[in-house]
Amino acid sequence: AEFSGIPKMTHYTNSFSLLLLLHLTYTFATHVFTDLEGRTEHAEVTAYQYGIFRLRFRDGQKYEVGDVVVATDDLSVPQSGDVFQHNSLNTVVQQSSLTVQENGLKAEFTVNSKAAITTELAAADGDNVGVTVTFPETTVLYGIPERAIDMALKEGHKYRMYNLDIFKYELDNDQGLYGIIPLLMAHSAERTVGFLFLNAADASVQLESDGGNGKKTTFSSEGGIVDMFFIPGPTPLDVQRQYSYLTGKQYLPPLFSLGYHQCRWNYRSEEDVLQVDAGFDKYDIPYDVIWLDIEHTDGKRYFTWDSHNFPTPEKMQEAISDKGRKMVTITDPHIKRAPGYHVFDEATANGYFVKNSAGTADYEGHCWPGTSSWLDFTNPDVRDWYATLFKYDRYKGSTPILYSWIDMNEPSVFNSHEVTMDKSALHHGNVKHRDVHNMYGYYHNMAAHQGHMLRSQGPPHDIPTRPFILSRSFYSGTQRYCAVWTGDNQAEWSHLTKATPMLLSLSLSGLPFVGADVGGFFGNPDAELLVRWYQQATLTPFFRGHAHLESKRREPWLFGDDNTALIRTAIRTRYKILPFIYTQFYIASQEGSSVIFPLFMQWPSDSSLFELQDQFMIGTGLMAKTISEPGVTETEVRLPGTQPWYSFSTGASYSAPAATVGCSLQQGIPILQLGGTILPLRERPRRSSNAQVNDPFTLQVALDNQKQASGSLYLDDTHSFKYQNGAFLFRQFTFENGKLSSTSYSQRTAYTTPVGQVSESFSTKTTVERVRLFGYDTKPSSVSLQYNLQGASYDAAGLQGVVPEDHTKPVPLTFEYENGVLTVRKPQAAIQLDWTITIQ
Amino acid sequence: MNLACCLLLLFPQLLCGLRGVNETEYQMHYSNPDTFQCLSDSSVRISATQVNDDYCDCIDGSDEPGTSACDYKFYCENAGHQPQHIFSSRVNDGICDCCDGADEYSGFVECADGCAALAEKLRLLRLEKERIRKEGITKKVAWIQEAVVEMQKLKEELATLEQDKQSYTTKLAELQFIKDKEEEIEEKERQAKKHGLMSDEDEAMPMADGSYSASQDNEDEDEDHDPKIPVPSIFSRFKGWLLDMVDEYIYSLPSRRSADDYKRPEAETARTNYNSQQTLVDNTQERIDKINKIFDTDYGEQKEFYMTTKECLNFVGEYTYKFCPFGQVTQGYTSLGDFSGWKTTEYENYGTTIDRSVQHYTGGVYCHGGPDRSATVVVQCGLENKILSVSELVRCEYQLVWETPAACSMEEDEAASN
Repeated sequence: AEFSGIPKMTHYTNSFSLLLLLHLTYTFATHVFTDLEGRTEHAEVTAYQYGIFRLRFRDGQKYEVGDVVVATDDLSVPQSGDVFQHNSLNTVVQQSSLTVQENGLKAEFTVNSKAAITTELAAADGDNVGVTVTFPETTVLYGIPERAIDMALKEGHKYRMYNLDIFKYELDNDQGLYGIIPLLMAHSAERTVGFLFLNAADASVQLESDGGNGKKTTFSSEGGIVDMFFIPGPTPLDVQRQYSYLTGKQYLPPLFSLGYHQCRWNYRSEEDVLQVDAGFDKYDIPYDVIWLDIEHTDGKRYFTWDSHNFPTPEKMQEAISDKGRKMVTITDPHIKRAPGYHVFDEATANGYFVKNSAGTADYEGHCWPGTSSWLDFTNPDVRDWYATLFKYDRYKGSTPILYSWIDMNEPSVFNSHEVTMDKSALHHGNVKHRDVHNMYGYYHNMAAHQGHMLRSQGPPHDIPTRPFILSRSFYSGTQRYCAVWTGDNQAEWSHLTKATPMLLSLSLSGLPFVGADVGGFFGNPDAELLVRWYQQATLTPFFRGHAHLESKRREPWLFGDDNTALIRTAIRTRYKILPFIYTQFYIASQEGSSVIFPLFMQWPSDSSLFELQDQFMIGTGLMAKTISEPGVTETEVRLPGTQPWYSFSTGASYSAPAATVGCSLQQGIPILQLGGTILPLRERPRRSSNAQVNDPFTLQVALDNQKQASGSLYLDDTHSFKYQNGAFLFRQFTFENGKLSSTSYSQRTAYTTPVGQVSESFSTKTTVERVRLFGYDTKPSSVSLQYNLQGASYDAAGLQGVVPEDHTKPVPLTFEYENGVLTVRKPQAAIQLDWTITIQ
Repeated sequence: MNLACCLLLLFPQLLCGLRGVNETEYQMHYSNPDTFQCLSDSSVRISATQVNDDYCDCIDGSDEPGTSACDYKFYCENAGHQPQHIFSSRVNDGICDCCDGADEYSGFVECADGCAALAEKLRLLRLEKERIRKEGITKKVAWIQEAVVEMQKLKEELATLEQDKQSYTTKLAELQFIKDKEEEIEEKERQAKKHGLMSDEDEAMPMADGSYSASQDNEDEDEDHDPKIPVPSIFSRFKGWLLDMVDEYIYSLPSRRSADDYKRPEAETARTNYNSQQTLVDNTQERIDKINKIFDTDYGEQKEFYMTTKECLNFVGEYTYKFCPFGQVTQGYTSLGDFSGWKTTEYENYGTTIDRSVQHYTGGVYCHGGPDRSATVVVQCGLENKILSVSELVRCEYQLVWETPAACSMEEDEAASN
């Protein structure tokens, strides 16, 4: 549409502006205009909570991305002329406004009266749409994953947004990989804003300087509409949380899925699976899930088993389940065109496949099974039907410990242009594939998630269980359904190095549950690379070892005793910090934050961190550095902020702004705990996360310069939805004035999901077996525990034998003090109760 | 063990010995009622009350043999079955690991005492194994005896062959002498014939010294002969082919053909005699090599595996495999490797040990994008000679399980008999 050619429609040229305070919710204004071709378009403005605006151009014809935005606009706000206001609920005092001129041709988004984003619509050209988006006063742009590049985007580069299965993807290539989150984070030392371009067609972003000290980006897409969200910040964490408010927060994964996963293309038979499982026990290495890739099926017919190699899948799963572990099978979106195969027959009978361009027959292409067709997940009926395929009576040989892996959903079509679906193929409602391409994987995410929700609604489940699904393709919103991995990487040091910025980019773009294949998918890592990879990946949200069909076996015990021990230590580190990781996921699920993130997000005004991508935070308390070359024994680590840092394993202290840290293969990569934080740990070696649930905790307290620290611990039944009804414990630990106190967590932010009806509770007899303090200056004279029980909170029956009968008296505790590390021995403090440990 | 201890076996964790250690370990390290020294660092002394108090005090974990507090080991007595040590990580983890359930005493899970049943199950398995072994060695002994006979035969055959080879070789030298002589005459006659014919038809002049180089002559003709067959540059890569055509053309000339084809009957006979003698020598050598290879191959200490080479075994699984012991493994028509030896382990200063329960077959057909195919054969005692399973755990690396009486141990399993 030629917006510039409509000056005579003066009654539409009035500009309007909306001024919003934080938490202003729901308003929209529509301006209708007719473009030169006589089509009616609506420039529509919507305002959401937290000062977020949406501006989109609708004509009722073009494809619009749906099913992604979950923010509801159900609050009414006082209106005065063009000004809409709402009382701020937050301590962050902020105003934002959107001024739209010339029927939306130009718009300016301001935050606290300062221009933050300006947009100018490009002249439309056929189906092509575009917009120039300028971010004044912006030092660096991040986001628009997934691609194998540095975290900070670069001027002079054009980034494509088109989901593709790229064979042996090159590093530092601007092409898009398997999924896209069309979100930009524009950052400077002063403030951060976000911009979401909700469009699913083949698109690109060209990045340039704006001529001043900001950035200019040009978005262009071959289809759909221009649909933009302006996200005010003012910090990177605010942008992330506001984005999560729009598209959904990380779902709370079941605890097991945060343990270690062992995968390979392919474990060949039931016997092979059981031998690998036995190997972990033989070498006392913990793991939670063993995976089956495409070869486990009957000729790549998903939801079936190869009857020769997997004749008794239930029996196999029972053996795995007996050790408290789980399994995952793969199920891809391409369906073998084979009459007699129930999925093919039913999809054919119901017309559930994507159609060819004429709409006359099913679209066909080649993938693993040979000639295949693709399920049209954009159709809600297809998703409803697909969900039933996961039910135990439909997926023969599946049991409640079986979870899912959905791959090749870009979609990958071997014999088609760019190894993906023909853009002219037709989806539900005569939508061309070109318009919906980047959403295909996302709709597969939704369908598989729906399937797992459905199957746990009845027997043999007493209560519904949380799904675990791993997907390769994704879109904004995938965080509500799936974990994602970075696809087919390679067994090279360069790929280990690039994994960190790739995962950070996904994390800061609102997709927290991410990981890269340990060891590299293609090729064969040598022992040092593999050990380093385990040392790094054990700290990343999704932790899986995987290898190509043609790669040598690389189970952790195949590289000699020394390397087995190093890998065991690395994987055990994961299980040690699992309570902390699980707590971070809970926080992400409640506040829309991420689990790992780049350092600049915690110290946003330190411009020396803006491009730092070989170090990352795990929660706000731990930091690690990737070691990405052989033979390294020590490395320089950036230590931002003003607080001390401590070696996670020894308590040795380091000061800002940088330090040399020993990191031989035996020492492991640098892992540091930030002064001022308390980490909940489970230090006993176990064979799986399930085997840890009754274990006592260690609280590792790293004191800051004021000798204070705080932290939290989230606990629930690990797998059900009962936590949504209050069946969880969320404890707050605070250290100040020589006292460590445990109280119920009550901190809430403006982003915290409101608590639903509390009808259930969670109780545990677990205790604290050890308190370890880093940075405690002198040897204390005494340490004691005092319960602070005010009747109601103390379930005497449930905690009999844990809490002393006379809990009003302080209990003296023993302790050790060595090299600045104070270890309080066996406080036996019940984790669910309020208490104080006093150090004198 | 004193009497009180024995009486209190029912409550071992309370009074007798110590949970997670056996009697010997208890007496050696844990019986001091006041203090305990960490096993790997005796300078660290802790109070005896800190032993098994569910808190890890020693770096080596030795103060907590009965709990999961340390990365250590836990002893289960498994009365009625065999005692064992398990990892401390298994203690009170909600999964029954010891058959007596001693590892799960916190009540997270109820473990039935399964030692008697397990012992019985293992006893029956062992009995069955022993039955098979006993029956298997009958066949094995027979095979050993057959192998002795076969080896003796081969030895005798080899001696004969060596003698034959010697006489055949002598004879071959004689026949070569005759052949060379006859061929010399034949060549002279051929040259004479050729020059005579050529002088008549082509008026070619012999060289002054009487020699005449046919090859030189040919080369000249190669380059100059017949302008009807040009060699344009664009066809230069066909030059070789064109030159062959030219040669063929030249030799098709009647004069040349008749001269070159000349054969003297006496020379023909000498050649035939020589060639058949050569074949005899070669065949003899081949057989000698084959027998020597058999002598060089390790068919077991008593050559008990030798008789298994007499037949190949088929296995029909997802694909059809053929296994020829000490020969080749194939999948369909694809070689998965040839026998390259038994599994060996090298020990520094102790030499090499041979493990006759695993064979390697290597150098099979190259795998696209991967290594050459290879196979490992796990050899087990069984009544019949057969392949139990074939698996491909890593692409193009196969594993076969081969059951054969040859692998049955001659040693009796005394425990099974008791």
